[in-house]
Amino acid sequence: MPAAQLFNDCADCHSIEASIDVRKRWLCRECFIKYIGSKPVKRVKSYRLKEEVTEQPQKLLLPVSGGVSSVVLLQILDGLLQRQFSNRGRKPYELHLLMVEAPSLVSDRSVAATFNRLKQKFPSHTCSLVPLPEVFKLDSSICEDLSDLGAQRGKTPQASLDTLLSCSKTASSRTDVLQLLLTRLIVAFAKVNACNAILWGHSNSRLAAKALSSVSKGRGGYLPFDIADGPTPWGIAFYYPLRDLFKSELVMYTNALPDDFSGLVVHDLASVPTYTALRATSIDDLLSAYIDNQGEKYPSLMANVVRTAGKLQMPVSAMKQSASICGICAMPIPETMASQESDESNICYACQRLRLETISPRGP
Amino acid sequence: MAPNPCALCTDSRAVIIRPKNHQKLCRACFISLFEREIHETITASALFQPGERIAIGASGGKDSTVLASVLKTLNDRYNYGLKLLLLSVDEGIKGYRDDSLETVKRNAVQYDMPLEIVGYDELYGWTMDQVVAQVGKKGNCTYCGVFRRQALDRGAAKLGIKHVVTGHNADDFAETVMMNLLRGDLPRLARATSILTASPASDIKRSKPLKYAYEKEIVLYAHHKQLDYFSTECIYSPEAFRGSARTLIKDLEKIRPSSILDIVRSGEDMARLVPPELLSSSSCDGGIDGEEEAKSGCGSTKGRSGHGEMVDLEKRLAENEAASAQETEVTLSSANDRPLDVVQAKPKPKPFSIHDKRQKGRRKAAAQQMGKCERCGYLSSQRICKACMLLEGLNKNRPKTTIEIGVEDEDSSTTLMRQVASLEIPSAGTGSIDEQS
Ligand SMILES: [Zn+2]
Ligand SMILES: [Zn+2]
Ligand SMILES: [Zn+2]
Ligand SMILES: [Zn+2]
Repeated sequence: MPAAQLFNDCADCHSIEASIDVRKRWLCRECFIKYIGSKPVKRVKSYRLKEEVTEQPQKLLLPVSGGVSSVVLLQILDGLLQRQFSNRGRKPYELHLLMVEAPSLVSDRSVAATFNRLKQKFPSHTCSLVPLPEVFKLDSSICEDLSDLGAQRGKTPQASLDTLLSCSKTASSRTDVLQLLLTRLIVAFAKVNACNAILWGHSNSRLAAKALSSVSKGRGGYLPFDIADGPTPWGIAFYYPLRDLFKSELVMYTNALPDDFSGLVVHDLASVPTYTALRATSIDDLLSAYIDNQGEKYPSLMANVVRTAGKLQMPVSAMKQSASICGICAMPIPETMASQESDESNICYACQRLRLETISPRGP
Repeated sequence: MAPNPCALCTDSRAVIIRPKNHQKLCRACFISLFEREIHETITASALFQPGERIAIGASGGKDSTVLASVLKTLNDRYNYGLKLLLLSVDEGIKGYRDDSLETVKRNAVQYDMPLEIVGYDELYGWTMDQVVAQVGKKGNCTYCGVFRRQALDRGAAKLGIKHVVTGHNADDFAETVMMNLLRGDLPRLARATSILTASPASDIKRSKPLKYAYEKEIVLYAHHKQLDYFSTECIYSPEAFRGSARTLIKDLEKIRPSSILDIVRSGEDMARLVPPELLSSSSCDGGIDGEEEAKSGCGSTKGRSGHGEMVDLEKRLAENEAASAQETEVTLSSANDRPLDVVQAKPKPKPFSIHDKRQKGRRKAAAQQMGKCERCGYLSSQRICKACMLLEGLNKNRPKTTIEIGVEDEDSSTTLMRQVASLEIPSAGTGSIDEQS
C-alpha cells in the first residue's frame, strides 16, 4: 500500500507540491510557468513564419504597451528565440519592439522609463519609441482618409492630432479614434520598417471584449478580421499568440516569475468604469469591464465567445484587390451596401456611425 | 416660431426626444415618422402580398398593440389590401390572462378587427393549470415552452391563415444577437436575425415588422396615440444569457443610442458569415420566436432562473477543454509542424459542440429529414413532434382523481388525439423550421 500523501503533488511533474490552480489542474510553480509559456509558443510555431525565409530572416513587429500581456509575450518570445538560437545557431525571425507614447494609454508611469527598462532587459532586439502624433508623418494618406472624422493637417503632427481629437463629441468616439490612430501608426511603422507581420499581445479576455465591442459598434461583419490570425485588409498579417490565455492567467504568470520581471510590468490603471458615469464611458471600456466581471465566474464561456466568432468566415471576395475598402478603417465594404448608399460608398456602416459622433472642425 | 421647434416641421413645439437618435420632434411628426419607418421596413422587405390574411399575435402588451394599431393605419393609408385579424393564445392559467385578454377584446373593437382566442385546452387538451397540477411546478417550463412555440402557428392553421406577425422589436433582436454570441450558438444567431421566416417545408410565414423599432419608441408611440394596452410587470425572470445580454444592451444604449440598431446590423452581417455546414447541421428549435414567446413566461416562474444556464454551459465548456487539452498533450510532437488554418481560425484540435447530449441527439435526427408529425401534422424532425410526445406522457399519467373530479377534463383528454389530429392542417404542414421541436 502506498504511503499516505503528504501533499498535493503537481499534476504534471508529480514530484513537487502543487501551488497554483490553473483550469482545474494543480501545478507547481515551475510547471505552471512551462504550461503558460507553451501555449503562445505552439501558436507562434503554427504560424510557420520561418518558412518564407528568403535571404533575410523575417522581421516581426511586436507593439509593447508595457502592460501585462505585451510584456509577457515579449518575455516568452525572447526565451523562445534564445533557445532556438542556441540549438540551431540562428534565429528564425527577428523581433522589432515598438512602444507608442500617447495621451491616455494604459501607463501610469512614464512610457520612456518603461521603454528604457525593457531595452535593458531585452537588449538583443531592435526597439523603437514613437510618439502617437508621428502617425501624421508615417501614414501619408491619413488626413484625406480621416477627413470625415475631422482630420486636418496642422502645422505640427501634434497640432494635427489635437485638431482630430477635439472633434470627438463622446468618450466612445474619442476612444475609437485613438484606437484607430494607434492601429494606423503601428501598421504604417511596420510597413516603413519592412516587417512581415505584427504580433499583438491580446489575451483571450481582450479578444473576447474586442469581439463584443465590434458587434456593439456594427462591425460584426468584420469579426474575422478583428480577432483571427492571418492576413488583414491593412495589407499586413496580424497574429495573436496569447489568444489561448486569460488575462488573469497572465497576471498569475508574472507573479510566478522572478521579482525582477514583475517590476517591468506597468499594471493597468483600475479600468472598471463606474456605472453612474456610463455616458462618459466608452463602449470598449464597458465591454472590457463586462468580460472582466463575467470572466471571473465564467472563464470558459468568455473564451468560447472568441472561438465562436472565429468560426465566422470572411467571403473570399473580401480579400480581393478589387473589393472596395472603407477609407477610415480599411475594412471591405459589402457590394450590396456600396451600391445602395452610393454617396457614402467609401465609408463603412460602422464608420458612418462614428462620424455622427464627431464634429467637423470647420463647422459651428 | 415655437421656443423649442420640431426638427422636422419647425413650427410646432418639440415634445419628444427620439431615443433612436436624440432628434427633437413634435408629437405629430414623431407619430408619422414612426409609422413611415415601419412602412419602409415592410416595403423594403416585401413582407406582405395584396389580399393576404394576416394574424397578428396579440397579447395585449405594448408591442403587439402598437403593431396592430400601426398595421391598421398603414393598411388603410397605403392600401396594402391585407385582411388583418387578432390572434391570442390563452394558456389556461387562472387569472393570468384575464386582464390582457380583456385588453385584446377592446383592441378588436377599437381597430375593427376580428379576434380569435385559442386556448391550450382546445389546442392540446390541457390547460397550463392542469399541466402544473399533473407534473408539478418544477417541470412545467418544458411544456410551456414547447406548447407556446407551436400555439400561434396551430391557432393560425386552425383558421387557415398562413402568415403570422409578431411584435418583436429592435431591442429583442439585439438581445438575441448578443445572447447567441455569448452562448456560442451561431446557427440560432443567423436564423434569429431575419425579419421573415418561412421554410419550404412549412406553410406558415412569420414576420416581425417592428424589427427596427426601439422599445422606447414603441412605448412613446403607444403613449402619444393613447393606445389601450395592458402594462404589467413581467413576472418572468429572464433566462441567464438573455438577462446578461439585456443588461449589457441597456448600458450600451446609454453610451451610444444607435447601439441597438448597430447590434442588429452586426447580427445580419454575421449571419452571412456563418459557414453553411454549421447552419445545415443544426436543429436547435426556436429562433427569436421561441425565445420571445418564452419571454412572456408561463406564470409559474423560475424553472431554471438565475444563472443556471450559464453555469451549466461554463461547466461543460471547461470539461470539454480539459478533455481536448489531454488529447493535445499526446499529439503534441506531431502537431507542431502542422500549419494552422490561420485565416479561418478553425477550432483545434477537433470541432467541438456546445450542445448538450439531448441536442446532439436531435441534430442527428434533423440531418435525416424534416417531416410532419404523424399525429398532428406539425413540422417535426421526428416521427412524433415534441408537443405530442409531451402530451402522450401527460395523458398516460393523468391521475384517476382528475377524471373523477371533472368529467369535462376527462372528455377532453380522451378526445385529445383526435382533436389535435383534426386541426385543419394545410397540405404542407404548419409551423416554420424555427418553431419545430
Ligand atoms: Zn510540477
Ligand atoms: Zn470603416
Ligand atoms: Zn413637427
Ligand atoms: Zn405532433
